[in-house]
Amino acid sequence: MKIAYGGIPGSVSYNAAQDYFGAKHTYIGYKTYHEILKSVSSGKSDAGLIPVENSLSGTIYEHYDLLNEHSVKVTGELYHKIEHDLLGLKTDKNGEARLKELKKVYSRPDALEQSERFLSQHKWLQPEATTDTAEAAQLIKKHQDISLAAIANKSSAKIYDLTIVVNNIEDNPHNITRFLAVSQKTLPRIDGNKASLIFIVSDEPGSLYGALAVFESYELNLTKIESRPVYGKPHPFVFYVDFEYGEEHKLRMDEIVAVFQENTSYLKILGYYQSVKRPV
Amino acid sequence: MKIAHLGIAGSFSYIAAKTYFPGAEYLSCKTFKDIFTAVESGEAEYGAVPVENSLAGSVYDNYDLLYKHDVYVKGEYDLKIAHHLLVSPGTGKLEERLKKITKVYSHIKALEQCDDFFASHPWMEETVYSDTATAAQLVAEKPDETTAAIANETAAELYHLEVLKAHIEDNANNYTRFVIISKQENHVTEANKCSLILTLSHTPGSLYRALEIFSRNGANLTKIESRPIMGKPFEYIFYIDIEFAQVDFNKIRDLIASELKTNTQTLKVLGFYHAARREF
Repeated sequence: MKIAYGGIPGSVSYNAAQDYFGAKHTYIGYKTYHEILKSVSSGKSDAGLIPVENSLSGTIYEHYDLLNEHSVKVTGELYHKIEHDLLGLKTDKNGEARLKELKKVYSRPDALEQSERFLSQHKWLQPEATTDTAEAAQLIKKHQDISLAAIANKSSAKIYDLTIVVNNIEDNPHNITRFLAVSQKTLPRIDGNKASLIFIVSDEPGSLYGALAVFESYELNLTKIESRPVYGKPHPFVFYVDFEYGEEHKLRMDEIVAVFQENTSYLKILGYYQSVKRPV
Repeated sequence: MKIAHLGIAGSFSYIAAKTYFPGAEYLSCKTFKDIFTAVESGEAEYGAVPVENSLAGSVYDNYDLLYKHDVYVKGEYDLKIAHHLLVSPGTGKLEERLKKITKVYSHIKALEQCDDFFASHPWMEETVYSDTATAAQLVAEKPDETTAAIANETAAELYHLEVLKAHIEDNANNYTRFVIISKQENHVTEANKCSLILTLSHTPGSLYRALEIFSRNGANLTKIESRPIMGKPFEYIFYIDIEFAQVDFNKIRDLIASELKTNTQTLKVLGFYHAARREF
């Protein structure tokens, strides 16, 4: 299978894709998520992985826009824990002595922010921004300069032949990104227990409440609900919802969708899939 | 009167502070947490903090800070985000000047939001910088026709740069909603909007019952967002905004204090205030 992911080998998306699909595939890195979805919808890739929310930074609306625009189906979900390690070239020094050799630290701005405590305790390290953590690791390898470090992950250390100078320097260990797996083919919903959808209701008091009535009356379990602000006129409301369904709902899903459709002005079911447990 | 904002003069947070409180004194803060601390300690009377962007989503960091710190929401402001290509003032044909630019500095989000521009100007190298205003400052400090920054019009004015190409953003529908925080609760006699943070008991329909209170009383839900609570599977924290233009403010306030309080596990009323006028 050909799998489309974001970035270069060692990126968070690359690691997540390897975890989810396994190593025995061809992996194709793309610069943007738009390109990933184009690759999947055109059949150039068989599957792709798109991050949709992070436990620290929230839902990524832009990626929901892409899922809405492209004709792909969500076929699964994955939670990937984000860890930040300080990487450098291998030298004969270790630990504190190796740390003292470092001067500059490259990484993505949010990875630098998420390692604030470590950086404030090691003030001689000067942070420098790059577009991606794996790119920072690649940069260190390219320059072969022992005074440069990258904040990236253990997989990048392996790929770019770097040593882990200090591991897990992230401030908050609960940094988890949720990805959705996409492909051109739909899974039969009978195989799943969870659905993701996008819907729009008009800007009238009670319109959202009316739309949500279906979840209440069929006793479906809402696991995500989020409104998105839409600017401009008319001023409808866009919502992102995930719900879980049981055996009793599987045969009635057409009916549930029909009721839901009546109470919304736009509805796109992104896919039916098997849920996985959220790490705690 | 002193208003705390993020980043240096010319940052989007600075513009929000300046537009909401024209002619005040402004206090530049390095982190969001510094804004909250400044307001809590009385160093600044108010602070401007971004809570959601129409493309990138909610800023969880600031919701966490709103929850943890002893501050209230006094008002809100919707800022339209535009990205311009700024250069040192010069002369010559636009196309020729564009051809000479090899490096473009900006915040990673701003660079990402100008993907189409970079795709059609592939000779320009995107260089990540800590924020848009400091990128503008950098270009101003080292006048050179090969460097440019992506920042806003205010930054262009402040740092005496020329807008070489205006509106290079991919998506014009880019707004950031800021809330104005203060140490004192907003003692208003009338309001048409309220922001709440709440948690619900883990029983089916608990969300629906809480929303029913608003629906029954003519208040319109304008934001709802569930966020998983780390370490507590199946439990969520909800961010909710309601607007109630047609309903008496006192009635809503009493409902929240009585009926909503008994139907929620924890409830923090961030504040009653006037909704930003949306003229776009």
